[in-house]
Amino acid sequence: MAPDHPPTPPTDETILAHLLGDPDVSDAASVPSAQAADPALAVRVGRLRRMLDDLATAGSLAPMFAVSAAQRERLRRVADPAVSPTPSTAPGGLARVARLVLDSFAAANPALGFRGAVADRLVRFESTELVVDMKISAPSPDEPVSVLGELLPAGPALIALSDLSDHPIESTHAVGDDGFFEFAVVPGRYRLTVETPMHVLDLGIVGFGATPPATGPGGR
Amino acid sequence: MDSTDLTLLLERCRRDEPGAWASLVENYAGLVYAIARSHRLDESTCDDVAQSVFAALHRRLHAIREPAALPGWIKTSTLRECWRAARSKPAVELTRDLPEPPPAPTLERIETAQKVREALELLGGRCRDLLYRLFLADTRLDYVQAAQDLGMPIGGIGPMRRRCLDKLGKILGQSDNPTQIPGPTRI
Repeated sequence: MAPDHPPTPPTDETILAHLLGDPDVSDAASVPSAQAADPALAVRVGRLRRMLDDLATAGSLAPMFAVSAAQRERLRRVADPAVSPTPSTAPGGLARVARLVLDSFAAANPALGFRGAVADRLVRFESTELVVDMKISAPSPDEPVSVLGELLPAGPALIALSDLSDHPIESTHAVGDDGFFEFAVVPGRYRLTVETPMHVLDLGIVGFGATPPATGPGGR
Repeated sequence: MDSTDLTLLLERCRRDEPGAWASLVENYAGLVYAIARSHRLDESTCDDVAQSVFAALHRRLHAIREPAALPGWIKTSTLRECWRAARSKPAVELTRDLPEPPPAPTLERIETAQKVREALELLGGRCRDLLYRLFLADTRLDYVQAAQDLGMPIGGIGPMRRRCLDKLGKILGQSDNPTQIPGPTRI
């Protein structure tokens, strides 16, 4: 008895026809069974499917990306100093000042304050609307300080850090929809602001890592 | 747009070369408007948001240290401007029951769409034209219409679609990871 010939693997065109539901390709229906027998083929099909999904996403959102000629022209003219809009510095809503209600360093040794502390530092800021918890890693040489935190109530937000130089550089870190955030920062003192769709919360100046604690006004 | 192209484009913008700023607008205006519209802001507020984002970008052109972080910065700045705009509007109290609007697309989906649009621009030529017509255009075309539109035989569309998707996959780096715009926002 002659041995069975292994089935010919489907071509990329056949796979595409299967994924796109093309009615004219007769052997497109063979793709699922071929995938089951060939893991490498299953991976290839998976990649193609993801790309087609991404294309479908781009297609369904195309109207949201539409920019009219007039809108485009206005944005081009932003580069013209004669018509460039004045920068807006207003946060679009009053920033609330948060209270520092917990600081593990101060709690551990109030007499020393922040000085001499080597462990991770836990801090909690509160306002009427928001609570921000942060765990700031202990400083170590040549390493950035890592910050893990949670915002309550959970929701999307941005945490902006600006250094205290004459020309402050700001970095912004996203808070996930679940309220958790994580970032690394060069040791130093920064002004922190938390911005949510509804509120702006000023956490004041916070020392991260090796910098000695602030004892002046506004330092935390 | 890959990071090399973006670095060059930013250099050209800093030197105020003709057309450079317009190219930057061309590349990212859609992303800014898509994020603004996903917040259900009215169109004139979306215009304000876009103008604020691009004005801030123009002011920061010389301070950008990591060109690859630019898309992330644009995304974050747009979010911020949207939230500011929404906070500055008085809350509207609904006096009667209205149907729930359809859910707004997530930021992740908007980023995916932007990545695909950028990849199609990099692809260029007839491949971009074909894939755009088949997948993105307002009126998606079938094989017959696409073949007529591009002046090709109908039998050539299938193989060309496969080749073009293959190239697009390489640009997108289509692997086992989902597409994402680079994350860091510090530029």
